[in-house]
Amino acid sequence: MTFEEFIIARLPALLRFATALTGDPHRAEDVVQDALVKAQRRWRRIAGTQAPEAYLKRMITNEYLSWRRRRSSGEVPVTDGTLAAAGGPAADSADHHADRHVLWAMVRALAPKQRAALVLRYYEDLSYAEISGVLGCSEATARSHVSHALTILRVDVAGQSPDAAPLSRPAAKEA
Amino acid sequence: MITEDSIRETLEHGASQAPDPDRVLAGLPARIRTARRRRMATASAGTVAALVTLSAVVNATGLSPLDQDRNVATGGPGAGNAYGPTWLPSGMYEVVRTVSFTSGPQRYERIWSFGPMTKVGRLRPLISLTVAEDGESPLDPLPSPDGRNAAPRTPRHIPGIDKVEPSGGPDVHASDGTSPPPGTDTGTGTEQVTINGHPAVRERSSNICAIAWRPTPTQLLTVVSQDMGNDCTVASRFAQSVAKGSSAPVNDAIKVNRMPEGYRVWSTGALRTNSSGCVARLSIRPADPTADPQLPLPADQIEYGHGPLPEGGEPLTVGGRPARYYERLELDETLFQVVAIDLGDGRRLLVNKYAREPVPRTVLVEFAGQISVGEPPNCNWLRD
Repeated sequence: MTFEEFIIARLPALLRFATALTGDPHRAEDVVQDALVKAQRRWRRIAGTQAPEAYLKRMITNEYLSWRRRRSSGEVPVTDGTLAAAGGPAADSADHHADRHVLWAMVRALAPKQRAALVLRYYEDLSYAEISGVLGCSEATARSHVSHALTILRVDVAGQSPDAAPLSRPAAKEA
Repeated sequence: MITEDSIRETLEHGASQAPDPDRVLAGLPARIRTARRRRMATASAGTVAALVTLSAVVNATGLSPLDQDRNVATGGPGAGNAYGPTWLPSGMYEVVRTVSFTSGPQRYERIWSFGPMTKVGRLRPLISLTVAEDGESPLDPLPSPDGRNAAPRTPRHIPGIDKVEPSGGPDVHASDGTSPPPGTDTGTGTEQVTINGHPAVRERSSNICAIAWRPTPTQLLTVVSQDMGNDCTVASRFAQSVAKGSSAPVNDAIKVNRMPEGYRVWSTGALRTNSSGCVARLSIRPADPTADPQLPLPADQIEYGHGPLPEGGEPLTVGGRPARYYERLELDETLFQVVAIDLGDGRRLLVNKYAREPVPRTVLVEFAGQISVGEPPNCNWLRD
């Protein structure tokens, strides 16, 4: 498969992944384009791997986590105030705060590595071993990132609603 | 109610906002051309930098000498936080103590383990206590040690988990009378608990337990245990024992005399290591993570301790002292650059730079010449 063929077939999926990862369509566009520029230079090697798309997603994740990109991006973390505003006037309702829009705002407020781990776990359905491979960390650290992300979401929810129910854990792909 | 399904649905919802693929595809050729031009320009600049480096070996001797101005580095403990545990699992002792700075909030981090830390490797049992002084700006950007932003409000990062490994001690404990009795629930999940009268959130996930609570409206305390058994028994007992007491000072034996505009000390502290006993460490980050400083970050991290210069590298002279320059290209295209300086008496200074876009050697060498140090850390003060 040539680079052009791959892009035409898989670009929509890469963009969706990048948008979930970055929480921002504009940044997703930036990150994907930068990753593709690099991928194009060494496409022959990438195409020879077992899973070129997984390789591209790893490149996109690394691009997103690149410190320089963050520094120059002007990203401003979502504040508590923003989260409260996203919750609207019915901010005392646990159900309301579980609304996906509010949860999306909370996910976007996570630290990049935690957000990446969360997306790889729950959007890509990767095992912890696979997440550790993408993030370049140990499996335990990958678990730690996901765990902390969930803790933070819980703390944020708990901060707005003391009655929030605990996180249930239906079957997820285990390492 | 937040479930894993609701998180999946939320991420799908977020992904559905992806940009138009046709538009992205249309912009790609121009992006490739720009990148190609930039690579060519960088290659030319690299040639110039290589030539300049030759003269730096000679000229660097004119830089301000290291270790002469003891006033700029206290050489000992600086500010400290007053929270600490009154109970520890048997055999555990403090191995890392750091303080992180931003424009306002400070975050103190302490780690206990069963052995000293090495720089890389697997994880071993540890307990960390983080005190975030987040004041009225709860989510101010706070770069984490890996260079990314984190917020002090919640446990965004456990120091040492990514980069250091306790070793030299037993593997897993919680066998000192704190092991859960038979029948104890060892599942995962989150629950509301109470820590010393304060509402808290406790999260269990596999081998990790995190507990967060606010003893005051402007402080967030977080206890995280890792590989300390498969439940929250140890973390909970540790958290319940946390109290305000005598201040736990933080090492500040390293001083940057001339910080480039746009940058600031992000964190300082000390950690026990296998190789050299005790290392003082200082990290540098942009003063404003959302701004784009005019100058490149000259170095990410400075380490000061005992030990010989690593093998290899190119000989240099910095501040009249023997030094070496090393660089290594990582698999992800990051270039790791190091200037190591022999300070005499078995002491050494490592000035590290991790970057996708490296700085010329001269920049790193000149920056290294702007560093002063106090007495070498001994980490004895880590044992309270």
